[in-house]
Amino acid sequence: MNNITKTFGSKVVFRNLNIEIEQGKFITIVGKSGIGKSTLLGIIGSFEKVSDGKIIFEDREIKKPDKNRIMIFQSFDQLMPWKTVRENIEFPLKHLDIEGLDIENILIELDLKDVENHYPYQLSGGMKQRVAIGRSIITKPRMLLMDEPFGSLDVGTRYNLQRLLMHVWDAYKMTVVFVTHDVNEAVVLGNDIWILNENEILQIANPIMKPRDISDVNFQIFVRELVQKIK
Amino acid sequence: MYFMKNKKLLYLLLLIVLWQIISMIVDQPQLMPDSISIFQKFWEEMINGKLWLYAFYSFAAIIIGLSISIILSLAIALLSIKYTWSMDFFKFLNSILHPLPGIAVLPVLIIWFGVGYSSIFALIIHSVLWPILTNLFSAIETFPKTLSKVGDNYEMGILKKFIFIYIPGTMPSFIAGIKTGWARAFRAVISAEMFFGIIGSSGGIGWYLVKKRAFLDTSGIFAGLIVIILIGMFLESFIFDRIEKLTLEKWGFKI
Ligand SMILES: Nc1ncnc2c1ncn2[C@@H]1O[C@H](COP(=O)(O)OP(=O)(O)OP(=O)(O)O)[C@@H](O)[C@H]1O
Ligand SMILES: [Mg+2]
Repeated sequence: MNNITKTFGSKVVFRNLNIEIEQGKFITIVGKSGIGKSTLLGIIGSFEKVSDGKIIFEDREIKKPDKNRIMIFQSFDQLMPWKTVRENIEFPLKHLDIEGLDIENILIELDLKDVENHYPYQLSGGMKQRVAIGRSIITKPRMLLMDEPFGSLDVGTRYNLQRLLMHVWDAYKMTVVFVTHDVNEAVVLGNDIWILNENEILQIANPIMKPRDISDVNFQIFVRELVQKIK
Repeated sequence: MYFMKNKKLLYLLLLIVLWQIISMIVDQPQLMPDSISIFQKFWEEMINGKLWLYAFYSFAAIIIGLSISIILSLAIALLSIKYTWSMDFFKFLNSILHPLPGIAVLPVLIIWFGVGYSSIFALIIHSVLWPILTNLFSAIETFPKTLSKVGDNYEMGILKKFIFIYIPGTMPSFIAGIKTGWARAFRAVISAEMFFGIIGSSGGIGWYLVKKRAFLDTSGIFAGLIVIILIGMFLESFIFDRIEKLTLEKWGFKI
């Protein structure tokens, strides 16, 4: 992304920002509330218009959302209440003329086989986010954009979903940009951790080896270092 | 469910018995014919008096008018999702026209469309369109933005998004609007038929009532009322309830 400037009225969120996202990476973005994490993710997915600058994806300038960059939201209302789990996951394939992943595999991998005929109102929050993940990967997108997708889940569910997401990423090798306000989560998941401060992005490679263990001393030291860099 | 049905049946029976007793006490068939002769009359009129034909005319008019209104409201909703000015304009129009009782605009409609089915359809559309739009607009305004974004993410155009995301997503309000609208339309149509008399080769159930009154055929009037009640019940409990079960309840939209 070249020279991105983003303003809301007179408020400048980004000024002449330049970033590059490497294919296949798992990037986590942290930063204090209101700093512009969601806005940045929205810009990457073309859901937010830029006030100035260009977004280049695989050598082409892009202006509208497309099937290559799929957004997963925090809110549970991203599923269609009138469709079952299975129908929700299959939804993109109905409207795009592409060959997707096998729905059966996805249902099994995301542990949704038992509830495939349930409607969203019958699901827990964690299940709903699993369905959202299922829907987002079925089209084999190049990039997944996730805005605190596990933000409103309890610790246990969150932990399971983090592991599941790592597994999905290992299996399908798409680029992931993951926004969170939880630095632990950022370190568990990311190859690179980006700290978003006012008009500055610190890009830090994650030195912790997988599987990353929150209770490990090095992990905690690294997290502390990161927290100090968040302004 | 079964219990509910049985209870309703029981109440109906009670009502008939009560009616019978009171009519026997009053003992003036011109004012209050007894239950049995009403039912006899109803049966007779259905077979010989072509009461069902009158009912059919009214019912068909409503169904056609309702369908036109639904198509119109969908077109307006689509336009209003795309353009805010459309939403603003129709909201404004709605705020002026919604409170206007159908029967009050009838004189204007007659001048514009003449005495005939065009006026009746216009009347139905007026009665139905505004309640549906009121409901649709509020549903569109509170519609989850995330769902619309999901559509964008899969490169769906506005029409695809409308058909596959907005219409099912606003279904509860849509159905509620149609329910209110249909009740208003039914009233308006019957009043209009009483007003118009024969249109074309026949008249509707409203005209039937007027005729029966002219001949002081009280049981006939009650037979007509029974038909009106039956049509209402049919639409409410067979059509609307069925649709709600198949959609809203299944999707967990209902409280
Ligand atoms: N639609 C909008 N109109 C005006 N200002 C906006 C809009 N969206 C975001 N902002 C402003 O832009 C800034 C960045 O918002 P953003 O939602 O990206 O923050 P965030 O880092 O995601 O915060 P959080 O961690 O709370 O989600 C905030 O100051 C916010 O007030
Ligand atoms: Mg945010």
